[in-house]
Amino acid sequence: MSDHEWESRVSRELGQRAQGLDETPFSLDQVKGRAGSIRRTRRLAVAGAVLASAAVVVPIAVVSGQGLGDTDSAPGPATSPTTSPTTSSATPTRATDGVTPAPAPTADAIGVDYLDGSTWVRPDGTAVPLDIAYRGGAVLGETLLGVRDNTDTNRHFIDVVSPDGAVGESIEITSGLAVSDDRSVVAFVEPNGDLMTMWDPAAGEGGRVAIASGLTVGTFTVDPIAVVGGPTCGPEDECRVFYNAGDGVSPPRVASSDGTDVLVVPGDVPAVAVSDASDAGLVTVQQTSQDQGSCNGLYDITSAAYLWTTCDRFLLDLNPAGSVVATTHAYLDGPGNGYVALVDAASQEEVARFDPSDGVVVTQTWLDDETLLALVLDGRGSSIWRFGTDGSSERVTSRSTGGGYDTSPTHVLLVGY
Amino acid sequence: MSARTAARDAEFTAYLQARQARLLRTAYLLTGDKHQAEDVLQTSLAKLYLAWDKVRDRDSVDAYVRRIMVNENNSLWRRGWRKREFTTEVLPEAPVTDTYDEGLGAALWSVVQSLPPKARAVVVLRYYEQLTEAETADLLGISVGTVKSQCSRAIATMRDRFPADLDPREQEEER
Repeated sequence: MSDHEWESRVSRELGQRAQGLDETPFSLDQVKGRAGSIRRTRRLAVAGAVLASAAVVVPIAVVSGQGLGDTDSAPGPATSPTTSPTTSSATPTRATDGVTPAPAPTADAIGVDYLDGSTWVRPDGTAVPLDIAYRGGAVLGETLLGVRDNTDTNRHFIDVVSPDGAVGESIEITSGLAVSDDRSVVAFVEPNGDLMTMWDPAAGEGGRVAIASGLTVGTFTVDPIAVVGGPTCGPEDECRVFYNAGDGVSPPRVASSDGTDVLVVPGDVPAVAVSDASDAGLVTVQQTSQDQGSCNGLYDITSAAYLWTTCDRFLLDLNPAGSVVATTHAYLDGPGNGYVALVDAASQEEVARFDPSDGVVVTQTWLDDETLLALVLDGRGSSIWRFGTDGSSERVTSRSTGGGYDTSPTHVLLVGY
Repeated sequence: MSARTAARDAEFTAYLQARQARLLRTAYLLTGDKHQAEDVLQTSLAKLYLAWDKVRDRDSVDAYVRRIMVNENNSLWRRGWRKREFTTEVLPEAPVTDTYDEGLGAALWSVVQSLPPKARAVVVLRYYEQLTEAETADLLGISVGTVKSQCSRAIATMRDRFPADLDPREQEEER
């Protein structure tokens, strides 16, 4: 029998097996109920991912129609091919003891560190091969902090990775990883409930300190969202870590290196979570959350008052100066945000909007006060875009995977997790 | 409820009514178990609902939810769903020999069920959903070559596992 005959037979058999299943078991309410559960879980799980980053946007007209296309990022120059991660456009090499290293290979330089599969791409485009593809992370100086999961044990770790890609220490964490705007300090929670800050991974206890302890809410572990101050959290500097309770209900708090640990929004004013904080004293606060959306506000710690509130937008990230806040639709979920709109922090006016017509914005981070990097995922792959406050836009790197929306982006912006 | 939410819910309800049964059948073929299929379907529909604003204007809603179902099923499989056992007051059905084809159908179904989840997804999408090799590859995020090789492997497995007297060619010849 030919293959075609076999295929026809399989088609008939599958059709007959499925025949009679004419039920429509789920109502809209049932679907919405499951959706609400998923959304709550995701919010708790990824709260740390929506952190010290913010977006500047670009007029829609500039961006529309510029999908990923089918072109991958250009390969780097030919190099000595000792290791070649399949997901990387570059051909990175790792220096070997006693052997003169080949010239460092390069990938697409975007001005900051990022991950492309299992390759760590430095700001100048130098590609460093890694043993695994981390799902998130941050860079402190010349050290990569890669976040990985052990799916067998459901435990989570930060790998401390040296500039040559070698893993040194691994730190178990029970939260997301928050990083300051200037990438000088990170915060995370260890299994014992200590809220740790770290600014020098190589310095052992001299480069890290717990600024709060015993931070658990029932079965939930708190999630650090933003770190301000620095450049250390040691006694000589002042730093503060804004964190959410993790249960989606308890109000957010801020722990300081001076030993205080207080509510971000004191009194009876509603606040269930923070999404970012700036050195300027502004905090983006989620006031309420319902299945249909959320109400949010820009809170000024100095005056202890909301500058404004809205139920039409979710507030993502403040630029370092605190003059512009990146926002998105009030209804958060799905594989990413449908658009990112830039709002003037003082006037609340939308100044620009980035709406990738063919994808969603997964993460974004301020490169500086005028430039936003955005990681975009569409049905074909992921790409990183640079957007200027002047309306300019540029796709700085892309990767076609064909993996669809349910595939994790190949690229990772190192803005925490 | 805002007018926008109401409009979205109305659209989604219409989609549910039009497509849910078809999606349930696909989920059943992917999972091989009706309860599991319903679980995969409900989760997939929920994820679709959450992303509805993003995908509703496209012609690819079915592809979007199919992709979610495939990934959900693969995820369930990775989490060891198949190792679970459920107690029931209903005795399991005895093996069925299909009268219409003297057991060939049951044997084919058995082979399909024994395939790893990703390979079975290829078979279901190609031979039930009748997607092209390119469409299947795009939906699963794999190459066309991989689709071809998975299909060839599945057919080869069927050839290998079937007793000669169940080979449709033999049956045709006997007739």
